[in-house]
Amino acid sequence: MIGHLKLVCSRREDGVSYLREQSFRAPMHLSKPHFDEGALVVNLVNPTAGIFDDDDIALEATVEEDARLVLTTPASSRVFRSRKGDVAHVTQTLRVAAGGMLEYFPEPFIPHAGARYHQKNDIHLAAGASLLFFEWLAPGRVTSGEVFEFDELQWDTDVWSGGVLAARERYTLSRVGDSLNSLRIVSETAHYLGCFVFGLATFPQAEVEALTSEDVYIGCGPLAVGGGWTIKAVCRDAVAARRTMKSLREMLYAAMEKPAPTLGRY
Amino acid sequence: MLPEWLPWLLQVNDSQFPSGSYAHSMGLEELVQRGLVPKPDHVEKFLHEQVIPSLCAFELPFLAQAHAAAVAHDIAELRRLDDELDAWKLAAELRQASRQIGSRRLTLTRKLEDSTLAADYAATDAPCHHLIVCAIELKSLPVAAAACAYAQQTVSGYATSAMKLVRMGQERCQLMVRGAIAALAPKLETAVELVPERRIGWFNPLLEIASMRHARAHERLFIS
Repeated sequence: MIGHLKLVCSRREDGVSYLREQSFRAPMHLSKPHFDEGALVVNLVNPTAGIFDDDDIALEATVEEDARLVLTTPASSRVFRSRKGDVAHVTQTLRVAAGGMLEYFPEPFIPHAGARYHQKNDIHLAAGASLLFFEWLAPGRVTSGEVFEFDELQWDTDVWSGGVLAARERYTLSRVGDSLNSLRIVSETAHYLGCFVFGLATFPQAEVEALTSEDVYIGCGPLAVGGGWTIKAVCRDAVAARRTMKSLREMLYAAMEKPAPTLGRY
Repeated sequence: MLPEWLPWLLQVNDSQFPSGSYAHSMGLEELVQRGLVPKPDHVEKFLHEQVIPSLCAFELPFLAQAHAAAVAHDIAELRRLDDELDAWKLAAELRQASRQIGSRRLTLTRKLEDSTLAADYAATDAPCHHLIVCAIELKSLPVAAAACAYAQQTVSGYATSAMKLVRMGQERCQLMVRGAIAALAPKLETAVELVPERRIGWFNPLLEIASMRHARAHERLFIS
């Protein structure tokens, strides 16, 4: 399916953020957004079983000046086995204007055995914009015995701050070769978490690092430009990953001295 | 006939060349402390399964681009690549280490050789990542030889750091370096082939996490 989702979030004069523009086409859909703790919370919904090899989905979200938007997903994103050897494509373009804030907090991404998937994240932040961008990569359907059995995941992320490239990542992960070695050395069922943070006056570095345990190996540090930070974690399993995601979200909101908006699915 | 660049290569790739790289473990110290690379066999596995793939998928193709720019005396392209490396190197400790080693190498290169390119590049106030300076320093070499030299510096850096971190001696270290370079050699030509729109990059969150954590370790032998 060739689908898209386009949102523009603006701020009304009374301070309420709202969707000034919205456009979507299957397989993408929206939940009814809700307003909580000063932010508009939007659940991105894929009402089909998941992503298939001929899907091509473009997600575009813009947060205008002083608006606050939380994008989340109500359930994990699954990519199914490629039936004809084709690749599923998802392109995410996120823009945040000065004074605006975007949180992107998805449930886990679960690539099934034989999945082929390319994702590109292009994030553009104006000077003075805030961002919490989370990623959660699961090894597969672990309880079904599918652990790192996907054929190919290509993951490209660029983060631009004030027009300057602040972070660039290019991964090609596959069950064949060495690309997953750094996860497997920690655990055969390791989950990977990544996060980019912009707009914090003080980053809670010691608190984040204190999340390290036997089940979680986590680090964080400043990016070269834009005052941004990155957090990376390798977790032993899904339970440790979920606990870490929750703790990180709480810590980062506490550092912003703002309550975390409820995600509307618990 | 002796290639003109050989004496220069032997000097700048000598372990005694004072680039300051001996003071950096590039994340290995933290991995050893975490118990993920506890013994010489694990160090060897780390080199073969994490360092060499990273060299082939990212550093060496990137070096090839920088080398081409250096050969063409294209300061603007070198600067673009140097700035881009700041964005690629997410872990601040690895980024700083790369800049420090590169800056020291560039300073010394300028003293040892009357290089217009090195002087022009130093005047741009660039980040001076190790990889970019290596391309400038080794511009007279065939690109595969330059890549081999860079790879040897990287592998040797990890192996000699490992001698201070796990129980292993000089001989084991040299065997390890030899084994890693021998494994890399057949892949070198492909790694440095300049292919338009080639997609480069590598996934190693473990090393990034280790480097990020190393900056705040309670005790450490190495700067990074």
